[in-house]
Amino acid sequence: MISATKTSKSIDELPIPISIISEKEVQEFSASKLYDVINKQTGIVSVTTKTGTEGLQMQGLDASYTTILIDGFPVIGRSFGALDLNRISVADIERIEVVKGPSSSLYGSNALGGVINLISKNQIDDGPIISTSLKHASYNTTNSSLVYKYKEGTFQISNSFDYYKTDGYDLIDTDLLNTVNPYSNYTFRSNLKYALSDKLLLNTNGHYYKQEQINIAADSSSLLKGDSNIKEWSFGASAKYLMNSNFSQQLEIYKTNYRADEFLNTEDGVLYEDNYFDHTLLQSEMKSYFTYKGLNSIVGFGITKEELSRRDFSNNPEQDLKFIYGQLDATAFNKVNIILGSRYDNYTNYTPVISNKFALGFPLTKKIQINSSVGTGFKTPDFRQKYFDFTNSTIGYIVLGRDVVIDRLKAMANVQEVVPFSELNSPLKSETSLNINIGLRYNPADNLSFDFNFFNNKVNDLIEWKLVAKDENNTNIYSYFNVNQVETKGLEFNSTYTKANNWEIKFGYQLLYAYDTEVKRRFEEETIYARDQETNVSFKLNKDDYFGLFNRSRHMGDIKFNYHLNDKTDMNTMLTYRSKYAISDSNANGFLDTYDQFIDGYGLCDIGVTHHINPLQSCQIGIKNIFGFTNPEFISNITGRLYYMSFKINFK
Amino acid sequence: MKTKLFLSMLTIAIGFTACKKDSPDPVVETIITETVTEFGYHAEPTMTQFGPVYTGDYTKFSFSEGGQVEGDDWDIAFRSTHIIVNGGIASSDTSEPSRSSGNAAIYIIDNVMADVTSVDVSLLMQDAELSSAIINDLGVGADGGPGVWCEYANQTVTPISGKILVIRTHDDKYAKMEITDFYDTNPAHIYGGFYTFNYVYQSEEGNTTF
Repeated sequence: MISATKTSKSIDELPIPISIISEKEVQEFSASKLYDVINKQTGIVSVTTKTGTEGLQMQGLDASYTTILIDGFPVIGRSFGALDLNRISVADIERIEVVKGPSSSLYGSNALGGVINLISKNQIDDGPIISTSLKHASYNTTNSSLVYKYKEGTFQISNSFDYYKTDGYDLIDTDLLNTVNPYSNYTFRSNLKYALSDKLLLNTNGHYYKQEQINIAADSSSLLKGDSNIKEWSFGASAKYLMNSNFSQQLEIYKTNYRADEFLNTEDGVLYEDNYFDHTLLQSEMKSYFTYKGLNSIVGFGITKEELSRRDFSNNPEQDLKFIYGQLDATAFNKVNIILGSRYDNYTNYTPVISNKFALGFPLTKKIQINSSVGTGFKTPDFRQKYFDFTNSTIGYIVLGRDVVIDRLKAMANVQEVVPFSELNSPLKSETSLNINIGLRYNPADNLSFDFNFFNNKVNDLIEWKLVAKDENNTNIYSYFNVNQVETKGLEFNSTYTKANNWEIKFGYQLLYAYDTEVKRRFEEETIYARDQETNVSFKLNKDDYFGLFNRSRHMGDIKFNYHLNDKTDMNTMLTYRSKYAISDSNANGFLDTYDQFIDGYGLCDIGVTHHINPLQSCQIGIKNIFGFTNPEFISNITGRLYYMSFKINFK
Repeated sequence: MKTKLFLSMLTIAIGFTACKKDSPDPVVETIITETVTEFGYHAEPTMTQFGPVYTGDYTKFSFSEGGQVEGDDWDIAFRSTHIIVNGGIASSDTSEPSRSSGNAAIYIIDNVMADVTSVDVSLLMQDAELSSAIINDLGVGADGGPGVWCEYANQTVTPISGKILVIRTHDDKYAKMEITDFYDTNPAHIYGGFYTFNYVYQSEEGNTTF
């Protein structure tokens, strides 16, 4: 595992809550994209937000608090903070590393909730490797991939091409719109490694992604049609110099661009609206590694430059960052592991931020390991919260980013203040967090393990939009403020039992409490009212009636069962459960209380069979969501029963 | 023996008279509880180039009548989100009804209907020339302070839960009410102003308990 410490460490030695999704597990899920596999992990769930974007929730924290990396390089192009994980192909992946808990001491902003890193496959044997796979699934979905790798001595190159196409699906037949419109995408990735000498290693990597989707919307009575396209590329290069067995250095440079374009035409072909989003990131980082006996240390520094150009922004903002970090990783007495890390981030126009992390792990007995970590993280206000300039004329509201709101309000006539304008003079602060993880791992036998992790995240200065003023037509004007303090805490439990060469069962469960601390205080100290949804009469709520944040389930669990039928055939089934959650304040009292309308908890069951025809060929069939669960009214990302079958052929 | 019998009979006789209670006075129930639905006959605005403008008559309500009145015996009056009382000074808007005879007053308190058992007369306010006692939400102060009973978002007016309006009528009686809806349903007028509210009216003059 590399992501937790930016150095290579065995997962048993890490005092930080991590999990690894192996290549085998990716294949068992018949996953084409990161989305297919990541939201089946304990404590991680993919949620659709109010704005319609979908993102990951980890330890109860929102999608914008998790950084997604491929081979350590960040993936950009977020919509309202969320990254569409259906963009990331998992062809030719060695493993996916998930680090929970703040990793800002290594990765900076946005890694407040954790980090997900996709590690591409390293070739071991010389010669060429060619493999192809073809998958067909319901809704006319096909996914085909071709991987070509070649290794000779210290030179290896790996290319993968992945093509995905689907008709999409429609959960509600009565309207003219589809839930997901047909789309197709392809990903091309290339990785090159070359050791110039036994001291100098060169690596280049790059990828290109293109997606095209039909775009259909409705405007009062007529249908609007157009396209929605995405183009993304990245290129990175690194040179690693091994000075001696204790000391090495690595220089990396990386550039990536994400561009999304969409338009809608009326039925007569006249342009109705168009939209574009163009985000570029340039990053350069220099790392120095030092190893001596039980001590590993890393010092890194670098710069990043970010640019964004999009519709509804008053200008094309840029953001520059200089950072430096250091981490000390010491193992004492061959058993006790201490990790200490700190990172300094200096964004132009901001007060510099320092993020720290301390982790301690030690064996209590031969079979019990105690892990604990405490760390701080942060997230700078994103470009939208600073520069947005958006008017929704249909519903009637205006949203202005914090850096543009004062000038725009001054230019308006007869503006009524709702919040004193003096509050807008200071810029938005970064959101910051303090996190504690305490875990216990109990291995009574080699084939049985129990893992408990208690977590607590406190996030301060959460940025939310709030009503700021009304214009002369009484249109509401919103802007962004540091308003809340949010706390998420709970317990994650994982257990694995393996009967060698026979079967394996994994059980996972998360208990989560996530709430706004100010709201909790108000429920405890003040009287809060709600309206009975039938009689419309107000009544008083108890302090226990505050449920917490939207879109969070109190309980989530999963069971994975693998059965080794024989030497060639494996069967696996998976059950996931999520308890009830709410997405809106249906009784309109401003809080999510137990009397609001909740979406019922639900369970999903998948089953699959993999058969190895011979060492070079395998096939797979399965059904996802066997019981065909759907909730068309509230859950748009569950399609109903899905059949699939795939073939994989290696040539050698 | 005869005295004992006489004494015990006397005791019993006295006991009976002592135990006999006066029959209670007939109780007059002075508290009236009602619900008014979709009240607001003059709710329609005039559309101008600046948007909807409300210039029509206020719809006048009397608690003793339990419905609309046309004369000066009104207690509160509604027009769109404006609520005025028959007391105090009228604003410069000439379309407001005359308040010549009224001593009505009003205040809003955070509570549920059942728990407002008496009137706190020190909180009562009357309309003034520059501001009405009940702030119509479309002005400033939209975050639920006293005097605000509703909020406006996404072109919808929603009554805030837990707001009770306590009223002194034009003839010194008291009532409490909770507004539960601002819109009518069949047909549904998009501009609202059709009040549905529950009220409790204390018809005994000067009685400040409910």
